[in-house]
Amino acid sequence: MHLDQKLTRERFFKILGYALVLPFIYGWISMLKQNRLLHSKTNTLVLPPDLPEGLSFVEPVIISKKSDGIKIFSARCTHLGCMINHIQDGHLICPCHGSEYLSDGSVIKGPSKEPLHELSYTFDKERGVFIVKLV
Amino acid sequence: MTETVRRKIKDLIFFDTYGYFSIGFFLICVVSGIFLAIPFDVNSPYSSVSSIMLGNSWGTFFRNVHYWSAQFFLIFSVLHAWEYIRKTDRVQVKRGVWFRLTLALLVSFWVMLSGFILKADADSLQAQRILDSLLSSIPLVGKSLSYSILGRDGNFQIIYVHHIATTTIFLAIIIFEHSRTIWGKWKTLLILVLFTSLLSFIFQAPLHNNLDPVIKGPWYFLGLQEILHWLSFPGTSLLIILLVLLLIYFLPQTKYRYRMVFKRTLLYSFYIYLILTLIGLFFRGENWQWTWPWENPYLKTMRNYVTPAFISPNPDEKLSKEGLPTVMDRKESCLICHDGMKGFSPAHKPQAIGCVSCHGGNSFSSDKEQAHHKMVLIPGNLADAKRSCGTTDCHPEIPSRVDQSLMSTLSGMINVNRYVFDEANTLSEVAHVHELGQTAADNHFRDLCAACHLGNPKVSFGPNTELSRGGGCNACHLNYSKEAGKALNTYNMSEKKDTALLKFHPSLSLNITNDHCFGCHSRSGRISTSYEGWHETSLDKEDIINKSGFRILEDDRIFTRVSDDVHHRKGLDCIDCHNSYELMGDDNSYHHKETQVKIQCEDCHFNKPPETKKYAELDKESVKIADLKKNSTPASRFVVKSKSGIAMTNVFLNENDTAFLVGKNSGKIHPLKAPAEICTRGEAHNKVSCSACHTAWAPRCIGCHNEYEPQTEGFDLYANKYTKGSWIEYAGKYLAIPPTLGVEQDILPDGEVSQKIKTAVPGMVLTIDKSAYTHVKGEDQFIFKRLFAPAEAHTTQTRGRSCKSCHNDPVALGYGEGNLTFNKESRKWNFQPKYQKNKNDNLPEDAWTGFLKERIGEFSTRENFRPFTLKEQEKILTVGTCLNCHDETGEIMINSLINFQMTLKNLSKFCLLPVFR
Repeated sequence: MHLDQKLTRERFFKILGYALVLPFIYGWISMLKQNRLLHSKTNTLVLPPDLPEGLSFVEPVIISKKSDGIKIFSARCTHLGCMINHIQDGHLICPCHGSEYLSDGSVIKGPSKEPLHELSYTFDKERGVFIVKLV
Repeated sequence: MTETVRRKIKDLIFFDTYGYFSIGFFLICVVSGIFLAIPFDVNSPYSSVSSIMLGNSWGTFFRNVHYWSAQFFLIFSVLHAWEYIRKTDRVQVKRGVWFRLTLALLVSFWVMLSGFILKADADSLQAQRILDSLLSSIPLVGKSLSYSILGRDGNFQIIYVHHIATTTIFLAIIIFEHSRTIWGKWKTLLILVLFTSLLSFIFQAPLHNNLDPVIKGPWYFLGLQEILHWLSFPGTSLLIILLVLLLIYFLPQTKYRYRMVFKRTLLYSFYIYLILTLIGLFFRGENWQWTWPWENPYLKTMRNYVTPAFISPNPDEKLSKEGLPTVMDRKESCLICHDGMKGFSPAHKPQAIGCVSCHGGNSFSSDKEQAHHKMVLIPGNLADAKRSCGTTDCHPEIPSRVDQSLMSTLSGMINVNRYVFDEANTLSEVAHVHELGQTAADNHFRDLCAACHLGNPKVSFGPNTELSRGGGCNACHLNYSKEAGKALNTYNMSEKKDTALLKFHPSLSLNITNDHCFGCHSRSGRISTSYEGWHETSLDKEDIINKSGFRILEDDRIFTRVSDDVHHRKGLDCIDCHNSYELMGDDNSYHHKETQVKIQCEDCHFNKPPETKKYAELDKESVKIADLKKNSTPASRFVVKSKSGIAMTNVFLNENDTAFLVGKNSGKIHPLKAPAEICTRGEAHNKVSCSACHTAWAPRCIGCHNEYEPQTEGFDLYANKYTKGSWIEYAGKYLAIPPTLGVEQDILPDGEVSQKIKTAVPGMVLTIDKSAYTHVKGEDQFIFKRLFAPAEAHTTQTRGRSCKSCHNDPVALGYGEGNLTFNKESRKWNFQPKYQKNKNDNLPEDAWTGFLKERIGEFSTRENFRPFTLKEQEKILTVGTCLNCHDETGEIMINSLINFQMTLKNLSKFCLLPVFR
């Protein structure tokens, strides 16, 4: 709209209509934020204490237990988020696009570039279980 | 005339425009969707869709109509869009309408994709995750957008709302705004309804059975999946989609010159995408790896698209009361007929894993023919193990391990055989039975040896017998109970096999008995028979009628009783020593069996505390085995195999450090004994393996000849078919005597030389006449080899061999049977062989090395295994000289074990040291 254009009643309501979208966007984002907050409390995974050696899957995580310690990764492929559920020749393989990872989470074959997301966990001594924080 | 016919045919096919086709299919899709919404449950979508397919024939029909009309709606929408784009020079649409139409194209794909996701099978869930990931990668609003479109992970409510309401209403409005019609043309609509109904009657809308490891998106996104396979930064794909939409949007507004460039770009992009879609559909298999269409499991099995679902019977009254059988959240039609079948091990009960997990077929149909379509009658053969035993939820890592293991590859056997035929240069070449060619060596192998590999398929029902070979997972894990055997007999005798139902199923379990190994391992090295104390003879069946002490095998070979292995006498089975990693492989390729086998006598018979692992330190596979065998407690300390670092799930140390082994099958407790003191006294026998002393006897044969007989009917054991012409083996004499000894010599990573004295048998001592095979006459067609092989005979005796039985024994030293004597006058050793000398190398028929000679050239089936050198023979015989006079249990000989050189310095005047040169 040019500045010298006359602000007619029709144009005024049109602009007002567009402007009303903004509070809706604000409301939409706030609603999503609050909804996520409500469901974030269950975002942990409890694992038994006797995790097996080597690689194992407990959806949605991959456990890699070696002599030097335990690492827990998100089972989602860092390429596009597919759930990795397959081991071949000791490698973790994404079924959707074929990315391959080593047991330490590092990528050995693309298309993925990023290593698997390592998740933090604590050991609850009282209950004798691992508590994994899912992101 | 021709032109008229052509026009009439064209009018018949193209009786309306793409746009009206699109509207027609949209309407059919909407109406069938309303019907489908009744049985569909958004809270358990996969279960409800499989319920519809299995127990609701009209529901299945409407689902098929919904599916096919949707696919054609998309196809005709795209064609209609392209039709318009082609005509942009002539037809003009308002900019706002064109914007909404462009947007509608995107929404059309979304409504399709949301429908694909709503079936919630393995493909759908991965598609949902990919879309979530792609949308979330949009800066600023990405995550919120994804959450608004897809909702929470595992929740389908929002997607459902968008599918049935948001997108559908949007498209309906756009269609009306664009075409000013709701129904299109009645004639078109009627034809499309008939066409879709017919299609839906014949072809089933797909549903992944969640077992097939191949994951693919909907067909229209397979091109995108292929693109994403090559894109490390997948956000780029969104930019590509945006670019295409912008191209379409700006196309009518651009100048003619640019418009033509835009059009060509779109057209070529479409062609490229079409090619990528075909690649994704036909050439991509498991893990999106390149696979030829005829090998592609995606196209071959599991999914059964062709099904006249309408003729499926409706669930009967029983089902309406008890509900459809559900396994792993999947409706399983097999159990409608095959419920109540018994005999399974707990983990394989159909209530736990269903029938389709192993047998394939179509679990979403209750019609017998359809349900059994492409079913695998005997699952577990290696060719289909990945799609039966090895599916993602069961044992996914094992088939590839087994395929690499020696019991599948036969690498060592093939390599040695080729070496003997001068078709391999070294003894460390990796081979696989599936790569056997048609050379003299490989045909020799096919004719005589190639049956014994795990890839050899089991093709008939029934338990494993002495004649069984291969069978994949069944080779070890298949067990027929009495009831299962009886049920099979009843079924086999039944005249109405089509309607007869088996009531007992064989079990698949960890109860792997020695009988499972017997079929293959009673041949060649014959460890199964030797372990049980049976030695093969050259007798015929008629020779031994009514004579005790003989055993006739199912293949009519006659065995005679010799001493059995002490472990057999105690009741130990093969699997008590050989664990899953040895038998099924450990992901490594091995050349020869002694490298794949990790168990050593010292792992159980130790005199120092061994390395142990707690339950929590066990690997996943060992945990599973330990849990199933129930031999351990959480406090158990599992003894570790020193060669592999893997814990033995049946060998423990208790709180007092007392070691014991629990029979895996018998549950019997066996206390473990430390080696006798004499075994480790001094350093004299540090290099001697336990088996060198404790092997009671080893089977061996002499005088073997092989030749090709072109007129004899043969049987290719690999291809399982009869052939004209065959290699024939003429065996000589069979013997059961204490083994020859040899030296395994390796260079360690630190450069040190490691030597171990081990037992040896004649591995490949034979003559071969190739002339009839090659049709060439000449000396070079005749092969003679004298190669001994390292072999653990599995005839362990508690008491070791006497000192003399090694130091004064010509067989142990490698000279062969005969008279080995020491002449006190000349102080020289003499040897008179029992068998004649072979004209090819002038050595006695059964010898490995010449008497007090250095063996040179080819002598072993291994590169690291050799007979004693001259110097070693002299050392052994020097001790042997002492043993001529001194008792081996006497003080002099016992002390000599600690320092033999000191003993030599304190010789008496009666002592006679041998003279060798």
